[in-house]
Amino acid sequence: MVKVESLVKRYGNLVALDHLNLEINEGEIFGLLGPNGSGKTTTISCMLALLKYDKGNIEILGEKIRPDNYNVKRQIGIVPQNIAVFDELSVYENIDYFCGLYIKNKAEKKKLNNEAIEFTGLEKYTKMRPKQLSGGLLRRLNIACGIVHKPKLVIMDEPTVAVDPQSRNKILEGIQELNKNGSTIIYTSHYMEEVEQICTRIAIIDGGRCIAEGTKEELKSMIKTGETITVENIFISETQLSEINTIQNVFEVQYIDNILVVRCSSAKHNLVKLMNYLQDNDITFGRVFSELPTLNDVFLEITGKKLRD
Amino acid sequence: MTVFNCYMKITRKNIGMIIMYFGIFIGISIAMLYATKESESENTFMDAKLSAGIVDNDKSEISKYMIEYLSKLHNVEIMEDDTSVLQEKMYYNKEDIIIQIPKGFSDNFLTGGASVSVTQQPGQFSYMYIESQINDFINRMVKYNLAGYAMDECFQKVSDIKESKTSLMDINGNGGQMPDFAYLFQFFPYISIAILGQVLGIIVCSFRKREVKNRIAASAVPLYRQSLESFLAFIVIGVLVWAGFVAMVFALRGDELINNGNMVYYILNSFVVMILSLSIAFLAGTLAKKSEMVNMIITPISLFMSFLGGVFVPLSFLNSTVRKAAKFIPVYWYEEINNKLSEYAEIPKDVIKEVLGGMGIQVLFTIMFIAVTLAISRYQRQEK
Repeated sequence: MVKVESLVKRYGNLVALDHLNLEINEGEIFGLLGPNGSGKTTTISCMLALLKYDKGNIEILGEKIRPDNYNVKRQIGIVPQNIAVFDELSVYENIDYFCGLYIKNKAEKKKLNNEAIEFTGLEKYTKMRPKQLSGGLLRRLNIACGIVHKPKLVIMDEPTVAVDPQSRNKILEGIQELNKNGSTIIYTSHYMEEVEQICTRIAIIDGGRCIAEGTKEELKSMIKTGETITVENIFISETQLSEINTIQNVFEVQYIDNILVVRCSSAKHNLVKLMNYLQDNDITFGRVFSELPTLNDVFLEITGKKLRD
Repeated sequence: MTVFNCYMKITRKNIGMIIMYFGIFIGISIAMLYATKESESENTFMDAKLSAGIVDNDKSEISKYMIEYLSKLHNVEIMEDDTSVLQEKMYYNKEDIIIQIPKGFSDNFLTGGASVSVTQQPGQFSYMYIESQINDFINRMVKYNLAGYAMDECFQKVSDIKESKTSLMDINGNGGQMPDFAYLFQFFPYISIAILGQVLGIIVCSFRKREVKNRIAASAVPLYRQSLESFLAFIVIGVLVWAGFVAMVFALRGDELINNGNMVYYILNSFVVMILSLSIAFLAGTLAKKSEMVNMIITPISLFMSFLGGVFVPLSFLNSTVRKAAKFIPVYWYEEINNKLSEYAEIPKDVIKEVLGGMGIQVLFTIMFIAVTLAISRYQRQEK
């Protein structure tokens, strides 16, 4: 569906995309994960032919993307990060306008408008102006305008920024439904939980390069951390800390403000082994948590940066 | 025609504001027209007759001729030489002036020493007017008499001359007054800039919002088509507002306008200022970062141009320094043409050049505004 080959984009001396390679298959929800300034939006802008790139090649639906390749553009829907609607038009008029940029037939347009309104749950708000809508409803309107023409490829650039949890869930469910209905989706975000929840494949980009790509499981298997154990309200000495570090599979120990964080490689009984050590040494402690690695751990370990920096 | 229709939809949403501006225009125009009518007497000449009481103590042939002469010019009443009656007439304003012809008036007539006594109401200067007429009568009677004419012939000649009238040339066909419809045209730059600036400025600003612009650029509508439809929408909305204005002028003073030989130039001039307003709207929409800012840009521009350009205050009221500065304002040239056209019922060929030159200057301003807007637009793109 989408093939990005060795894409290079420079802004003066700044290299925004550095030989970026991506391949997105039909039917996927492809997550593009990266911190601010990593090159996500630049990649999308190049895919939509909004930006000229310096080197490389982008193919969508088997054709090279160019500003005048309207056959391909007709198959793409875009949901930008910021709300891209007209404040002067009503909800229905906005959806109708953006539909009209792709569909000429009036009857078909009307049908698609109503389907998009129903899909995003905006039936009650069709006559309202954007300024009268809540943040969540605005996001839904933004999505409706991007998907109204039923594109084969939907590019969503952080569509849930500043949205309450209830609206976010509704949006994420909608995206999955859209995918089930046949659209391939490129989803950029720096919310790892969302990406984990809906994406079938993920690419992590940083500094304009794709540093890891695969399914969630594949990405998690790439890193050393298999389990992170956190123990609260614990009082231990330096010697005991060194001893914990020698327990089998433990490769990193942190002790700050009476909270102990132990990172272990992927293996069985890591928690039991730590608990046994604490009991054997009569060490009292509070609550204990054991967590499997998240995309955040993946990102942290691969890039050395926190995703939300 | 999606982009075109979007312009039209947003314009329809602003119909209330458009009606409001037209309402203000009609209100101001009607008020101005009434004010003009009331002040017309200050600017025109009018025949005036005085009530003159004449006491003829001479009762000579010449004094009778003079009374007859004055009777043609004023409402004359022959009175007896009774001081109390005369005082009463003056006190109750029954007479504006009392002329007393003394005994021996005719004796002194041919020697040039004849004079009359004139008494008038305090605070009035009409005596100067009537005195001048009496002196004129005496001088001419003496001259004709010295030329050898008999008294009755002299009087006949003086009366004949008096009946000849001076006719004034009415170059503008409106007695030198600015025609009513010209007053209406005078206001057009303000409503044109205000309405088109607000409506189109808001639309341009909305279309220039980065996300909306990108979404449209990523769509299946070619860029040239978007530009073409936007341009077409600009022209159509401009023409609608202009046509609405011209229709209103016809509704208010259509009969006068149709009969005026300069009708085409008035309408053409207003069309040029409408095009100029479109360029100002384009500039305002490009400068404004939010649609709310359009109003903050357009209101001072329209008021500044209107005050300095002669929309609200006639150009003749502005001092020479301000007028010199106003030449850098396009509206000034519109008003110059409007004033020039109002001076003639049908504009002479040599003045047509001047009128077309003024319109050309407005077109140059329009091109300049568009060029500045494109430069700003380019700068904004590079900034991003």
